[in-house]
Amino acid sequence: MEALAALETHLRERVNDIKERKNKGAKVVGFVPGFTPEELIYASGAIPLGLLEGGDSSAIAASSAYMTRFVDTFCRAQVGYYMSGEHPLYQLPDLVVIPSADDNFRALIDVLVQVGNIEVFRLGIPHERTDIAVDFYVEMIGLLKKKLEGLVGTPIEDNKLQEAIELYNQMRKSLNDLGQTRQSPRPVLTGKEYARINHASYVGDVKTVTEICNSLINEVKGKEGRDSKPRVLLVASTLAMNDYKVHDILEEAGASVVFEETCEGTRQCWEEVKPEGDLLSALGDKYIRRRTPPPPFFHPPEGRYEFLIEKARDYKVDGIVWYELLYRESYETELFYFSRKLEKDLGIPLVVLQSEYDLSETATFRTRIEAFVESIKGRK
Amino acid sequence: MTSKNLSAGIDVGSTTAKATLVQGKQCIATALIPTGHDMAQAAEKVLTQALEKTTFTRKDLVYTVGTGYGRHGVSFADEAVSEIACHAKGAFASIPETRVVVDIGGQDSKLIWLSDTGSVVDFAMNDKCAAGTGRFLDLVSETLGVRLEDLGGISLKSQDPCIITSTCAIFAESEVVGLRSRGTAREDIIAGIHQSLALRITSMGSRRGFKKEIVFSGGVAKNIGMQRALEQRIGYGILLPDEPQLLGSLGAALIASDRSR
Amino acid sequence: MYDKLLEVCGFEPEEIAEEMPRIERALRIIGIDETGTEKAVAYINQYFDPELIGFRKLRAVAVRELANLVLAREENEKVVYFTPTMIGGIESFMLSGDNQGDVYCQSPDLLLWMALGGIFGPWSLIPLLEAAEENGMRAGQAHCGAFQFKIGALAKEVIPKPDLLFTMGGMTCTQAGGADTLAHELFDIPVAYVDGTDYPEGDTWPEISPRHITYAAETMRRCEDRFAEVTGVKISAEAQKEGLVGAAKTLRPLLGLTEMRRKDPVPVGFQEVVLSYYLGVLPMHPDNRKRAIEATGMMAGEVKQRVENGQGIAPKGTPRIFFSFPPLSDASLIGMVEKLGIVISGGGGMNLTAVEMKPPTIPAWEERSIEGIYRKGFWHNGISGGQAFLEQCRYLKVDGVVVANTVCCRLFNPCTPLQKELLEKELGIPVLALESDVYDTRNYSTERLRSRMEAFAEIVKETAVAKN
Repeated sequence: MEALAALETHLRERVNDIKERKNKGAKVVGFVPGFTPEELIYASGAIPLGLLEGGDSSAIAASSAYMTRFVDTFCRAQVGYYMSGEHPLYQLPDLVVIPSADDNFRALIDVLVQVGNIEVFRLGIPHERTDIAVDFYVEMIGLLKKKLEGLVGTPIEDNKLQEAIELYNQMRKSLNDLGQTRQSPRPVLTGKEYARINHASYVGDVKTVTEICNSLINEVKGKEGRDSKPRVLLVASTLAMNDYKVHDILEEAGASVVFEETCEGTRQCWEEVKPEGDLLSALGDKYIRRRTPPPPFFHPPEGRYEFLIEKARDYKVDGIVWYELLYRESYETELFYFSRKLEKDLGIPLVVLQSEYDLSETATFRTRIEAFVESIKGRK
Repeated sequence: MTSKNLSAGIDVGSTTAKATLVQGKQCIATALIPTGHDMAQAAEKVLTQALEKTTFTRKDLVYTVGTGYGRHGVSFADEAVSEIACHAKGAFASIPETRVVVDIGGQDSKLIWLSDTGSVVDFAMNDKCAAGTGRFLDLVSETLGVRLEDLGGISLKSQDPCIITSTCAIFAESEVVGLRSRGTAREDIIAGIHQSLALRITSMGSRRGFKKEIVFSGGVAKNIGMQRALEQRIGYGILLPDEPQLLGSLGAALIASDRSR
Repeated sequence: MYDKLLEVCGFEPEEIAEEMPRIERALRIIGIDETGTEKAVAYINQYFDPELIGFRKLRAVAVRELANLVLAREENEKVVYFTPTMIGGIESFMLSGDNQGDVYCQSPDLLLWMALGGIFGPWSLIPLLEAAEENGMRAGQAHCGAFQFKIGALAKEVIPKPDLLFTMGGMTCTQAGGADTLAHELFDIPVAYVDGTDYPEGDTWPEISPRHITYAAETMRRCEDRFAEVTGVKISAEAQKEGLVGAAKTLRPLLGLTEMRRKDPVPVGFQEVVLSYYLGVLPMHPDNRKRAIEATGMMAGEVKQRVENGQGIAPKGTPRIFFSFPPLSDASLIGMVEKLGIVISGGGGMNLTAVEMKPPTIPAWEERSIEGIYRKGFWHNGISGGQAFLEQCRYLKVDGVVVANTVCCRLFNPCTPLQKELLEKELGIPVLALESDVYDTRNYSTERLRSRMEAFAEIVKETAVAKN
């Protein structure tokens, strides 16, 4: 598909593009996606750059000098990328915004504050969707706004923020529309292709990615794939950029991901920011109050299970892949009571894959996934 | 203090037992035997063998220090001292430039940092998982059917070492089996294993660093492939004492000699 | 069957006669059989200083409280559980309103850990850990042992199902909230969550940024409303004050004990002090609180006598170390360390930092509770955790530090390597990072840790000699 080729070109050129703009005085603000209001960074005139690389065992090895082992694999990998100095994207930011969403992210921030050669904005995240939580979050992003204004040297005007909100709304709507094309009985777009453009939406330029996404929709719209493949719902705490082994093995086994419930995945796209009234409150409303669904470390994570059930039915999935990163215990605990209920409510198989970004996992993942896909095919 | 001033260091490791006899700071005899299943017996036997190489008897011993994994089983020792202190002492006595000691043992692997005067400043130890210890090499030699002492030589022939990433020896073993079944060359697998082990060991010290002279101690030091892999990770050469396996017992004997004064 | 056990736990013969039926029932529910009783007696005899009568009495207090917890459902109208950080404040809830005693409040995670594991030995907690592993907290996932005790005990019906879980989970640690959500899903227990989170200026410890405090306090007030709704009891200002005063009365002699460990020679073993400290600050039924105040006062007196006599557990001049967190339910680790020619003069979260003695910045009960929790550096974040250790080590003038942070704790443990670096740099003394676990003693082995502890003790002794 042409649009996908354009996407890869955009991603390849992105590092140099950013470097060039940086040389001309632009500021780069890195962020961990999920709770960071990218709109605000964009509106400040700084370049927002999502940092969510993963899947690489050398990053885990590099983290061990700074952080102990029993921490979420993704967060450990981030320590590795920042500290080893080998990943080009991680060397670009002037400031990085990390939402302190749970203990794992708090630990990541603590390490970077102490020994990282980078300024970190610790964005405190409340763990509920109540009014007081939204108020707190709005206050926090108010501080972020001031921080960004200090960095770029000019205030963030409301019209700029309004414009940014509309741009991001458009991009997320396009991503959502694209994702929904997979409701078709024989989707043309693969799960990995969707994950790729979704990841690119954090790293790439918002307008470029929106355009690419729209052309991709045009390319796949109304088309059907050749075979009807087993349809998979992927649940993951974090599906990191370039950590595509689950997709690869699934696709080799003849199945495809049609829906994903991951922290940086479609969860961002279900609700749009309503650009009315106080704009920071509008961001708080989207990022906290109407967060759909809440992550398992919210208290309580109400509506999460119902959301999964609903999507599993909408997308007519045949099975669920529960991809856990080792030591992100909130997903692990949730799995225990979800798996019992899912079995009953949906009657479809579920396979659990636990990863510490170790290459040797591939063999065991393959065995499990193949058995899982066979069992789906056996039911049909 | 007697005129003979004879002291002994007994290092009972999980695979071999070593004895070193010193007079003052002068080493006069050593012995090395397999530990077997009875550590206490091995300690007795290795000391007897060392003494047989001299004109002295047990009665001439002024002070004895036991060290190694089985140090508390050396019933005749006057004192048990940790391997850390003994390896440091032995390495510093053999090579006074020593500032870091790397010891890969059967039960654990260690990094020891020394001050300019030879005292221990800090140490790091891995004993949790076999993938970071000498036990890993035993497993590989069994799996590949290569003698332990041949691993180093064979690995040097590798042009393209495999990447072994398992953090667990059990998984790594199946990784090796997998590579073998795909027809990967033996030397590439062994070289990959050495690199993997080197990574585990150097990562224990990546914060404190390796900027000073490094001495490789213990039986695995005789494995040239392992030495090369460590050098590659660290970025410069490693010093090798004449008898790397005996550094622990030498250190123990020298500590014993200090105590006897 | 339990006569001997109660005796070594410090019960007087007439108390045994009177209280046995009740305590026996509780111990049977917990599942302490004949072999278990023997093991417990042996453990107590092996590890605890037999001469300290106050400490014996405190053990009896803890066993009574264990029975209070196990039998809470039949003896009280309502039962409410709190997560560990609320320690000290929980009694305020128990003392609430007019119908005192009708609401039994406890932190079972802590009580089981300290009273069951701490006194009877590590083996007594294993069945609870295993039950938790079968109920959503799988082995090998680095779950927190403390919350596993609670989930395991609920699953095995060792402790009653409460009417409400009052959790500080959102505020201090993610794992606590997760465990309580699990309890809700498995046992249908209502949960009230106190929430809290970081603040951009999160590194101002010992000063706590006000917004850190006010957000959590706001959610806490909401939980108190929930408490009132469930129990029908509104927490009065007097009760809050009374609860704090009661806890402070026990704490004062305990802090005195901690101070006495600075004397040379060190008059009392670390395990005894740290265990009595935690037993003393546990939430307690008001009757039991009176006994606890008496016991800790007695223990402080006994240790003071030793100081006056110049009596110590090690010779004068023995090098001293700081040991961050000892496993309370396994005395073997500390026992081993204190036989290596060094003594432990502080740690275990007992030593207060200067900021903890300061009056609260916002006097309201909720705000002061929250601020108190954050002022303990390690509840705040990994950076302030290291700084709190540093301050305590300076105060105690130690010759070495063991940073033994519970491996499965994602709040205390992640920054251990950097805490080690900080302490080495600032203090210029040896620092050992030790992988151990204060809750789940299966995560380490004292014998396995012996080599590095011995080597560390050698280095500490050498540097202490060089220093003097």
